[in-house]
Amino acid sequence: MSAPSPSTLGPVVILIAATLLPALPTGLVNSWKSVARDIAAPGQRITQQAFQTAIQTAASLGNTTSFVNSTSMPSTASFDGIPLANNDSDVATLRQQLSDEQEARRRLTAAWIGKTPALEIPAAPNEGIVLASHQSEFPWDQSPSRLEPQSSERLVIPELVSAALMGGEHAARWKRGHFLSKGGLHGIEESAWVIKSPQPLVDLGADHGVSPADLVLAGSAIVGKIERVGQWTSTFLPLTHPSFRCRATIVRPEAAGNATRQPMILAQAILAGQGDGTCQLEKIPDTVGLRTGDEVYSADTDGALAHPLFLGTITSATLPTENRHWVAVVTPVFTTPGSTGDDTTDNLQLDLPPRLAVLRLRMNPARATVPSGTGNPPLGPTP
Amino acid sequence: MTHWLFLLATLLIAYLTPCVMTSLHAVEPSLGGQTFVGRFIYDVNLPVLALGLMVATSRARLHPTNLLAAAAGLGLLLDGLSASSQLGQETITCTLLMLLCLTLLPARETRPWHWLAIVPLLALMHGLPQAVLQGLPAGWQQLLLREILTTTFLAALAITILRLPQVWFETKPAASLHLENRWSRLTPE
Repeated sequence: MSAPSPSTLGPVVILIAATLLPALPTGLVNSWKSVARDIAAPGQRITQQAFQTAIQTAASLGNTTSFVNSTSMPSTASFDGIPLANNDSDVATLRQQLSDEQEARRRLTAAWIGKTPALEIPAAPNEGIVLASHQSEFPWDQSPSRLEPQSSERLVIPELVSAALMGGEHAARWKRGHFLSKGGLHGIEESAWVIKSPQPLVDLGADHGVSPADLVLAGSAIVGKIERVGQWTSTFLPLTHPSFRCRATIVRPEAAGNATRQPMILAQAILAGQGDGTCQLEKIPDTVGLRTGDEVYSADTDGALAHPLFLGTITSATLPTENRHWVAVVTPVFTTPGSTGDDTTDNLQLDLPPRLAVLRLRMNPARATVPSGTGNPPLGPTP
Repeated sequence: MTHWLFLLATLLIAYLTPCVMTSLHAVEPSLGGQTFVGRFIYDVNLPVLALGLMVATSRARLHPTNLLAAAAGLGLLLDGLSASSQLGQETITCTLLMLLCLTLLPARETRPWHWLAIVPLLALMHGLPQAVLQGLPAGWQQLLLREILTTTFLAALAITILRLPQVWFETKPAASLHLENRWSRLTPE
């Protein structure tokens, strides 16, 4: 009996090895999947760039043709049904429309994550509105238990208060004491902590019940958190400040190559400002498949908010070979390019809208009244 | 040297095929899955085309075991990048398909048309187990037929383009040498 030749033995060995693959344990399978992703990453990058180049070339060819054809139409040039901008005012209008659409989409995504209606910003200044008075959302009617819980009001409810950003000369004059030069003699002074702080100012203080760590919002996006509270003004830490940290939820939006066509929650992480106009996500394991374009929302642990708020978009995500955690850079909607941690940024350059909102927490008025006869004094809501 | 070059080319095909498949999904919105071209691209059975390309280009230069190992590697990478929690489906299928190719085309000098003849069979054998294991969708017969036809059409197109230079610049066949004319070939006319 002769030994099998190498030409026969090779295929047999390969076939046996392939047949045994489904019997591998799950841990080994996951390890291979991680390795396969690493192996395929360079090839995927090359092929994706090739595809994108081909698509862009095709699009530019189509664009050129459209523009050539549009020369015969003097006023209403169009490209695939999209009106082309004729002058700067059209560009500004389209930019505003794009910004509005993005804001609406972020609110929808946030509402989808929280399964609750979208956030509303108060139109009138300095008027608080109740964002959510949570009722119990547990499906008790489907519960087999006969115990019917009574509905209860939340003790602490969030409120949005419209605020204005004090920037440039306005803030400088406030800090120099021009507005309070006469009041100082009668003991009317702003807090020294606020006056001396290099951080940006909003025109709300203790008179509106603002507290440290309250969130500062622009639309549905977080731009910072209150740092020091004065009598009439407060300073806030911008999102990109090195001292800023908060919990975050990473969400894949519905259109970024997502097969389910719905937003998808990927992971939770810590968002930390870097001081260079961007933030970084910490402690994301390599088992999560991050990609640029994924969005980051706040992660509320105490259930005070009805739905998460927008933090920024992932603009860079790399997985270093020596590290098992992602290095993900998040760029917020509104950047603060000069927000370094050295506290010397007196002339801070801000790219923030003039109208902001402060999210403050206050005691629920419905819970603040105590039944008569208990002997305890009634609790009033914070101003 | 030539052997190593062909081996490198075969491995490159096995490596790039899964990359192209995953990249296609990533740029899906840009391609427009609903357009004719978009649908055409998704209907192509890329692993079958890759196996055929390996056979057509490297059969004459490489040992069958090399091709079989490359096919197994292709399937293993496809399994690794797939969303399924189990390994082996693509690996076994690709290895068996390559074995079938090598068995049906035993000659070292494989002509591309031979491979084209078995492309529909390969596409059927690759598509059917996947459809059965992952659950048959509605109208799966049409989907499978479309995949087979698209892959065959693309393979025929590729082979025709590759063969065109040989059609246009066809060299004369060498005069055959038989016992009867051996003296006439050695002596002047």
